[in-house]
Amino acid sequence: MINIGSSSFIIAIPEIYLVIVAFLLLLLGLFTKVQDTETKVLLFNRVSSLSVIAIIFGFILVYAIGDMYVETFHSLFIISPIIFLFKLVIIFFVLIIAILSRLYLIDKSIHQFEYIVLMLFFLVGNLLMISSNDFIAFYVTLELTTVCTYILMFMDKKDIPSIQAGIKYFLLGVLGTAFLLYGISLVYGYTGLTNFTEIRSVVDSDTKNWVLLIGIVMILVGIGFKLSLVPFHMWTPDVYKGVNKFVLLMLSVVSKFSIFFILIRILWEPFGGVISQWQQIVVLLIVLSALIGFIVSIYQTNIKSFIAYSSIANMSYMLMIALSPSVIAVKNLIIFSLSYGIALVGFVGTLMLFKRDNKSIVDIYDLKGLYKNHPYLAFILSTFLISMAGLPITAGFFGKIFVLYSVFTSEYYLLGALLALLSVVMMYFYLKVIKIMYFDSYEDVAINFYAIKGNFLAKFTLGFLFLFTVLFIVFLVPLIRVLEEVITFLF
Amino acid sequence: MFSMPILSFLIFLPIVAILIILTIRGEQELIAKSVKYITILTSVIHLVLCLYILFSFIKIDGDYQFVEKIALIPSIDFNYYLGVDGISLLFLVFSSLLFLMIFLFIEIPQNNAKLYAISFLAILSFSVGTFASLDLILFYLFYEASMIPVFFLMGVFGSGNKLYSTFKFMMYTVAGSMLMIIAIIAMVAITKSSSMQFFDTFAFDYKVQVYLFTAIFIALAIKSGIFPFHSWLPDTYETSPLSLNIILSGVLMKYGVYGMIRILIPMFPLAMFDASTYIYILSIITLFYAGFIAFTESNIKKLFAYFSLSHLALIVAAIFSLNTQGIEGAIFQAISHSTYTAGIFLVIVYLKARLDSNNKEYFMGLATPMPILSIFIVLIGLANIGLPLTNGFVGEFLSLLGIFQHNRFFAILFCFTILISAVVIIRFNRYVVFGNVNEYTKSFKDINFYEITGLSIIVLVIIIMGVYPDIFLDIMHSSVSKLMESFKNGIIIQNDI
Repeated sequence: MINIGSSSFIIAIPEIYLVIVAFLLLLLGLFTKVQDTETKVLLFNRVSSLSVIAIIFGFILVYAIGDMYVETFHSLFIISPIIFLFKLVIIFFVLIIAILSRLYLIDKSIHQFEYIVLMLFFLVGNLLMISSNDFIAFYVTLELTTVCTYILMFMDKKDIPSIQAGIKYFLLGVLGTAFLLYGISLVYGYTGLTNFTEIRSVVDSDTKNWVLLIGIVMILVGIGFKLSLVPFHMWTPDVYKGVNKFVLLMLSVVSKFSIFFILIRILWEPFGGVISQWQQIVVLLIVLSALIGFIVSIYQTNIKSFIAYSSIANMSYMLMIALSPSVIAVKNLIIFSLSYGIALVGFVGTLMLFKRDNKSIVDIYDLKGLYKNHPYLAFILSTFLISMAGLPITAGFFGKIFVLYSVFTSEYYLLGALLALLSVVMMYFYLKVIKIMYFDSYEDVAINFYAIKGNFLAKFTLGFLFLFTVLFIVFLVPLIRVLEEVITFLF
Repeated sequence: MFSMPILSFLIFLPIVAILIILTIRGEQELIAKSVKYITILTSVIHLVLCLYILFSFIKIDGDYQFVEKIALIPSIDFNYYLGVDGISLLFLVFSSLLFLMIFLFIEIPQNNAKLYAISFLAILSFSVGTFASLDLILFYLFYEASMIPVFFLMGVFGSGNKLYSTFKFMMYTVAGSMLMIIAIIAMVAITKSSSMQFFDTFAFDYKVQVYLFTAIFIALAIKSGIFPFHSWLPDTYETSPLSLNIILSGVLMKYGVYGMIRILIPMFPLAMFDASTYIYILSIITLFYAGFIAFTESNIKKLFAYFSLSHLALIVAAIFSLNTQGIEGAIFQAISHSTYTAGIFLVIVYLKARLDSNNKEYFMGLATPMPILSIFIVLIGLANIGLPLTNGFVGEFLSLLGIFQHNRFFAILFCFTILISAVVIIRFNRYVVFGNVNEYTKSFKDINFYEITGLSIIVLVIIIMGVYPDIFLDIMHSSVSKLMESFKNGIIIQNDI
């Protein structure tokens, strides 16, 4: 093990490796001669394939380093079994999105190779953010990810909605960050510390200090902006509507999950001692997010803005897990994030693969008549929808019951029941989309569904996601066994 | 005992058939034809296996038999745990029979034949799972999954205002199931176990019992159409295809009845005991309300929807009589209701093949042009009324007997069910069988041999069950007494505390 002072480089190897790969790919792109679109696409294809291989290696590296418990770089960063699992989840999703979106991006004539390089930096930022053990490290890595997403949104200069969305996201992101920084400085002002573990040792249940409390609230507000929790959600539908499906997935799955993972770390580790002080605030956020998310989502007809509200609602579901720190809660969180994330990535990823009348599908009514033309495609899409709705026997159902289980074990009966009953409202939307695909008469519409010729890997990945969703109970048993083996303590 | 996992086989056989159907390609007619053969073959094997279980079932043993257990999540004791006792076995056999009936005697639509067959086979598989699972989460899994194919069947093959009723059905179901899953997860979270046998002996606090009972009862009442939760049913029956009507009334509505017997009685005995008066009131309201509407309804499908409701009300009331006769009556009445309702809907299928209408007025005076069908209508109608020597009589008699032992006042009110049934059915017969022949019915041809076979099977079952009910009562008897024992123990444990 290479040691510099107290730091062991070995746990940072995956991140360092990914940064090096990103730079190498950047160099490859810069030194390749590009004359016309054809060579551009060729370069994009090459960089994208290389990045997929690189991410797979990154996954293997993270896995190989394993689930030890080490603090490093003067305990700015940390790795523990739980963080190890979170990292695997994040890399897994980035990998799938990278595989699914390659042809979609080319088809949208977004073929700058920088797109892929930025995605790698985004991934590195997320990985570092999850393993940060210090407010400063957290802030810096959070900025790394958000800056990447800003550039991803601004990349396509012809895509005006995307740039508009980017500006909105930038302005509100900065506002959120301001709150976050203010909160961090207040916490620093009270404790004189920025390290999570050290703050934990200072802040215990006897602490009743309004400076600290305001600090916690400000941090929650800042993260609430990023997670688009109600009442800080206003930007979400607008931004999601503007961006393309690739960025949409990065925002709604990868970014949300990693920020959520760091949120529960912040809530449980530095502020774990003062649970009673932030619990009511979190409950309030949950109830508001659930009300807005579940109820407003049924009026949407645009798929992207629906995903925005659905992600608000699902965030409220996930946030229920944050209420009570326990090992079981983390297990259930990972199961829920896998089931929900895979359903969402599968749904959007399937939509990426085909077009209607040479336009990509944005509205749910664009799916009219899909069953008549592509029955199998309709079947796969409806499976993902049913999983998102949380009906058995799909993965979403298990995700839901595991969240409910951990909520009920921590005796939030009313809250859990309220959210579960509210989710019935949103099922209306999912069923409506299935209705549009299957039942609506389509004679009056000239339909021309055209599948983007997917490569083998994308189809294989979709098939895997589909199987995972349908046969989740088969995957669940080994998954739980692994989780129980790995997670033995909190952080 | 048998080491062969026969119950799993029953669950996975239709799934294998689904996979085979998915691979079929070619012309529409060819697909429809081969799908028909595959479904018939599957359901025949299914029924044969069910009958095998029925005959090798040890009647004096009230315990679960053909048990299979695979551990899934040890920390909450969630197992793939299957087994049948006398109660679930009867439901299992009769639902298998109904599926064979619809595959054999109801034509598969030429368009979307695959979707039709896949949906029904999926319901078949899930219904076996529902009736045979001994684990609460597993039970819920199959119970709720059965509703997804129904959604597709109603939406694609329905008629009339199908979208409205499909969504109404689905939202009702999903809301009810959500209450149920909340209750189940709460139970699992409290006890860290999801095995039904564990809950049979576990005694919840009275207050907890009341909450859990209410949630699960509402879910099951939605499914079986008890008064304030019934409004999905007439719409659903009106617009859904007739084959689905048979399955809805014969299998899916019975989920409610089965759930009440399997979950509510042993797990929440005290709440059950205290609730019975309220449930009687709800049932009485359902009985009279649905009966009176059936009396005036001119849409045949809606007529029998309401009529089913009034019968289900008696079944639910009999369950809440909480004694052996009542519960045996309820089970017997539930399975006989499946058969004679299937008969009625099969008659409607044959009528609609001649004239596509739901209105009673169009089918007047069938006795002259269709004498054979008329005989069947009258016979099945008599089973509906509950005439002696038909299965309706045995079920109603036992149910009323049970209620009499529990509460005389309500029992007298419930006796009106016979009157209501008689009025509805005789009025129906007066129109449809003995009315004046009109311009439509004039040209009707009588049913052919194929159609006669379908109806004769039903009538045969009706008469066997009516003449010699002991075959079926024997099977359930020891299981029901075991159920009552665990119910009484539940009450005693609570009183001791």
